Formats: sequence, structure tokens, C-alpha cells
Amino acid sequence: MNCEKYQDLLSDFIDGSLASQDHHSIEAHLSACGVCAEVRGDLDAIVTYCHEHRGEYDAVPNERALWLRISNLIEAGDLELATDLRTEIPQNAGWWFRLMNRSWQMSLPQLAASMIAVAIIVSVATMIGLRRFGSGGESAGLRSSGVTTVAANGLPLAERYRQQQQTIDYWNQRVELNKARWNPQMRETFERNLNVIDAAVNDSLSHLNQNPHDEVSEEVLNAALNDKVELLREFAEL
Amino acid sequence: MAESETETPRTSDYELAQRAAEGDRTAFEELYQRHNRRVYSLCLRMTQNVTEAEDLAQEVFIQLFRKIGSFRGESAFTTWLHRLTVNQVLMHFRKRGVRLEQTTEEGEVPVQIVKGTENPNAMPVVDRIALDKAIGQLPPGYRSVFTLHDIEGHEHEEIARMLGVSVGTSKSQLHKARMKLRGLLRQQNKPK
Repeated sequence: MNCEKYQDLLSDFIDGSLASQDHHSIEAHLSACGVCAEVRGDLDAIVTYCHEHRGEYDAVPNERALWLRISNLIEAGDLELATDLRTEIPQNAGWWFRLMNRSWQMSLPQLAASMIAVAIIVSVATMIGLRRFGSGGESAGLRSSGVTTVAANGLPLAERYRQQQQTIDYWNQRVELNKARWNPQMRETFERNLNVIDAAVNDSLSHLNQNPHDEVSEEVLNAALNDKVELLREFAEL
Repeated sequence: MAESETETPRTSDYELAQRAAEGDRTAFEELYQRHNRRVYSLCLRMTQNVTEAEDLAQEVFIQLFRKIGSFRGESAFTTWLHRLTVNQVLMHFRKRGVRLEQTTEEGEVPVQIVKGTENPNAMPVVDRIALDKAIGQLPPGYRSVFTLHDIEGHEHEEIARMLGVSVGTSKSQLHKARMKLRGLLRQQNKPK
């Protein structure tokens, strides 16, 4: 092994995570090589400094002002919730009455966004309808699973996961069809990204198995599944 | 008299969290007082930007308020809050388009073997200001791994899970981060 290889192992050496054979080999090299011993000394100094100062925290520039900002935002959120709850509707009112008596308050950007969303939903629905009408094949049905995912907000986690999985299966099939045309570099990039995302999905699922109420893991799982759909879609279209 | 001198036992974070979940704003403020420095410091170390760190700390506490009801006390409150904070910072990086996975390539400044120098003491004594300055120059992916491992004390397995990378990538990024920091600290020490 040359110095470069030894230096590559220095962090593991310092952290004590090397196999004993490698550990002894580096120790022997360090006692003979001044250059590597110097690098080890420098890295040691950095790591030791960090360890010794662990638990020291920086003060927020203006702790009180930050609290007031947070407190105001929370109160504003509470107020929105309270306004929503204030609309009184008789208990025996029908759904039409409830719909018509609900107060809709939207800002201009919200209104614009809603209109765009409606336009997109209508176009997608038309497209799906046309494709189903044109080919009637199963691929049209699979394509629609993407829409299901978009509309799936508010569903229980298991159902949402199942639907996202359908979308993933669809794009996966498309990717498999195109894979033969990819060069090795592209294949390697795809596999690497997919492995990273799968690891995040598995980790979130195992956290959720331990604690089904863990909203952080739920959020991470959603983000990872969305990333997976995005990745598959990007590569399916290449 | 003796009674007044005895200190009242400190309410646990879990109790405060439960009270906050029931809408007790004072309990939530107490949690903020206890943990704002920890949250802010982590945000600052990962972003190296005071304004971003303050905004992120604010967002973390808003999220904490929304999600505090889901804290069941299975893990320590600080661990849970830490995870919430890291998640918030990583989401912020994602929104900004920082791809943590790509930062392996981003550290393109090759980590070179430094030949022996005339002065064996060229590495400055590591101090807070110099180290903070150097950490600020690391690519975000390296910075995250270095912060989580060397400063916050996480294991590579945990970091890999949090960042969605492999353990090998986490180890390799940590080593590259340390080597880069070494170079930067030496550079800072060079006579101008």
C-alpha cells in the first residue's frame, strides 16, 4: 500500500473502526512515515477539538424576538383554525346546504392556483378518457395511477403507500423496457440513486413499524416515494 | 424554611410535551427556552448562514408545535427534536436544489497528499473561529456528514439513514470533509 491508500484509511483508523489487521498495518506505517503521521496528527486535532466541544451551543441572535415570531405564527395558525370552526351549520343540514353555506376566502394567488389545478385535472381526465377510449389497454389504467397518487392526500398511510406503489410499478415497467438502450454509466447512475431512495423508504417503514404515529418518518417516507416516482419517470423518458 | 430551600424538581421534557399537546402555551414556551440553542446551533452548523439558521429554527418550532402530539416518549425528546431539525434542514436543502448525494463529486478539489513541510507545526491550533470558517467552505453534503458525525456525535448508520445515503458514502464523505478541513485550516495559517 502507498501513502495515498494509507491516508484514505486514516479516518477509520482515528475512529477505531478498522479491522485489527489494517489497524496494525497503519500503525506500522505511521511510525515509519512522517508525512502520513503529520496528516494523522492534524485529523486527530480536528476530531479531538470537535469531541471536546460537543454540547456547546450557539445562542440565537435574539432569542426573545425569535420566540415572539414563533408565537405569533402559531397564534395566526390557531386563528385560521378558529375561523374555520366558527361557521355554524345546523346539524341536520344536507350536503348541498353545507357546501353552499361554507365561506370561501381565497387570496388572488390561491384563486389562480385553484383554477390552474382544475384545468390540469380536467386535461388529465380528458387525456385518460381519450387514451382509454383509443386503446382500452391496461397501460391506460396504469397511467391513471399517477392521478390517484395526486388525489390521494388525506388517505390512510397504508392506502397511500399502496397507491404510490402502483404508480411506481407502472413507471418501473416503462424503465425496464428502455433499460436495454442505456449505456453502463447511465445504468450505474440509475441504480445508485434507486438504492439510496430504497434505503430511505425501508428505513422510514421500519421506523413506522416501531411507531405508527411518527409523523417525521411518514413525511420522509412520502418524500422518498415521490422521489422514486420522479426518478423512474425521468429515466423512463430518456 | 428548609422546604423553601429544596429545589423543585425540573419538569421533564415529556411532561412539558404532553402539556403542550393539550394546548398549554407556557409548557411549549418552556420547551423553546430549553432547546432553542440546540436547534439553532444545529441549523447554523449545517447551513453556515445565520439568517437561514434562524428561519429554519423558527420553522422547526412551528413543526414541533404541530407534531408535538405525536411524541409518545419512546425516545428521548432531544433525540426526537434533533431528528425533526435534521429533517427540516434536509428538506430546505432539497428545496434549494442541493443534492446531497452529488456532493461526492462536488468535492472535486482533489484531496491531495500533503508533502512534508519545512515547518512541522504548520497546522494551526484548531480554534472555534478558524474551524467554523473552514466548515463554512465545505460543500453541503460534506458539511452535513461532518456536523452530524464529529460535532453531533451520530454513528454512520444513523447518518446514512437520515441523509438517505449508504454507510460507505457517509464514511467516505466524512474522510473527505476532514481532509478538506485540514487543507483549509493550513491555508488559513499561511503567512499572507
